[in-house]
Amino acid sequence: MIEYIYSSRRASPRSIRIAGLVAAAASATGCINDDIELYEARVRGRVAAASPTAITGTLHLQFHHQMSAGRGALAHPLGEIDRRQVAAVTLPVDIDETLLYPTQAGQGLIVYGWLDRDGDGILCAPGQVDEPAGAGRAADFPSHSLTVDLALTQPCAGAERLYP
Amino acid sequence: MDKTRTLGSVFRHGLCGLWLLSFIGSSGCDTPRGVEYLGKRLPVVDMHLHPGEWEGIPDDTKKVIGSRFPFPFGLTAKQTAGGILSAEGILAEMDKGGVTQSVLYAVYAPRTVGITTNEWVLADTQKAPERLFGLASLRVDMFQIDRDAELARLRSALSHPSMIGIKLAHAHQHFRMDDPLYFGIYQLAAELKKPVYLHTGSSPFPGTSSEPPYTDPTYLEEAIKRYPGASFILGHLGYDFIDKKLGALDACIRLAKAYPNVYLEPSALGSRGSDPTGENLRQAMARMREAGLVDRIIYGSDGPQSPGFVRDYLYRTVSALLATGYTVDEAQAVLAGNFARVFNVPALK
Repeated sequence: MIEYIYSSRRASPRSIRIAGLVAAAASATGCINDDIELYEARVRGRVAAASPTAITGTLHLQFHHQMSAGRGALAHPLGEIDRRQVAAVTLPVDIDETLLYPTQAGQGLIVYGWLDRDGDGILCAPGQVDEPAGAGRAADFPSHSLTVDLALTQPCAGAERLYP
Repeated sequence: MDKTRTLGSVFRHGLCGLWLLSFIGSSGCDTPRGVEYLGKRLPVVDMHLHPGEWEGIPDDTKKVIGSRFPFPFGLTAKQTAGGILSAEGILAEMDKGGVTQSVLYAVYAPRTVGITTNEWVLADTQKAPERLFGLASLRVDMFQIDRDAELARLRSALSHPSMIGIKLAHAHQHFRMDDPLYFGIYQLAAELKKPVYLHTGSSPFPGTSSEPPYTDPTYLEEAIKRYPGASFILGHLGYDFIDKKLGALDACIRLAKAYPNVYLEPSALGSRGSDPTGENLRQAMARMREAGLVDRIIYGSDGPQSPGFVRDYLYRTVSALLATGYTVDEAQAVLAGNFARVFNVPALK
């Protein structure tokens, strides 16, 4: 049976056991005893750009493990957990996002962001304007309430360019 | 009439392989290597095979791979994969398909498809050095910290004559195709005259980067321009493996027409799973030929994947070549000649 273990912000981790369909599906696929432990974390902070003038666009956020788990050499930096978009923002802007963090899949938390200035959904498509990106580490993770500030100072940089 | 006879010949070859499958452990049949094409037997080089260890693959990807094995192989995915991923298993799959020579890929993609080391690939090539070659690769997940060390490791791996090129997969290894931080790889390729194979297009494996800077070969253009001495082989023709569409084929063709150091490799996209009717592979072959790029196409399958895949993919490709009017000389170029020229590897008689 799959067991989803969910940690609330106020209580110690408690288990939410999802029986019925999940168990049947697990039995059918052979995925027995796969436990997924999710840790709820609220991430707040300020996202700013290097530009002294206000820039606007859609803010793309990605949440990564700082280091993903894996057998031996399969461990690696980063590993996306979730992503969000905040439309029509003008930097600097405050963020407030709640994340369900899979604890067994890795450790630490990196927040990566970039601003989609031209609205094409692509960071720095050929021939388009440079778009700023930045990343920050949640220094006080694990905690249910985190502060991460992002400085979008690196044009066209993917998350892999900003950490490690 | 010629076409019918040739397809029949290839198909009989396939039946021989199926017969082998049904008698596991029996020795191979005596069918000569290569394929008959319009009455002429042609050698075949499969420039894209993956050796390795089942344990070198992340768990989520193992599930995807295991689900693709035809029944009943999926029930014992670990044993099945272990059998066909070894050098001996790959040689057996090549023999089933009539493949003359192959290229084995090292992979360093811990987040997606796993790790097969340069040392592993080199050791495999030495089991049959006249038939097996290798592409080396490198880790890039800490490249800002260890770039020089990784490039030195790559250089060392490429010093062996059996290691004839470099394998990269931006989507699986998570680095942008246009990021100059990684251009030292192309510089090394140009210096050593070792072609670079690049996965282009999307990928069905968990954890893959799916955004265009990691999948669309358009983002390679700056590197292609900056390193004319490096050969860039655009793997999978930019295929969209999620929606089973030709994806970035137009971009691949445009780049190959614009730059003489660009080559095209149509592996995986024409498989039963990714192109059930074979129409996408036929279209791709037709459009590359119409664009005058036959001398840039290098055959690969992306096997062994599952038992019989290497043979099946060759059959589907030869069928597509026939259906789209490739002459004997053109088919010979696609199946072996272009590979020999680009990699400077003598064809095995």
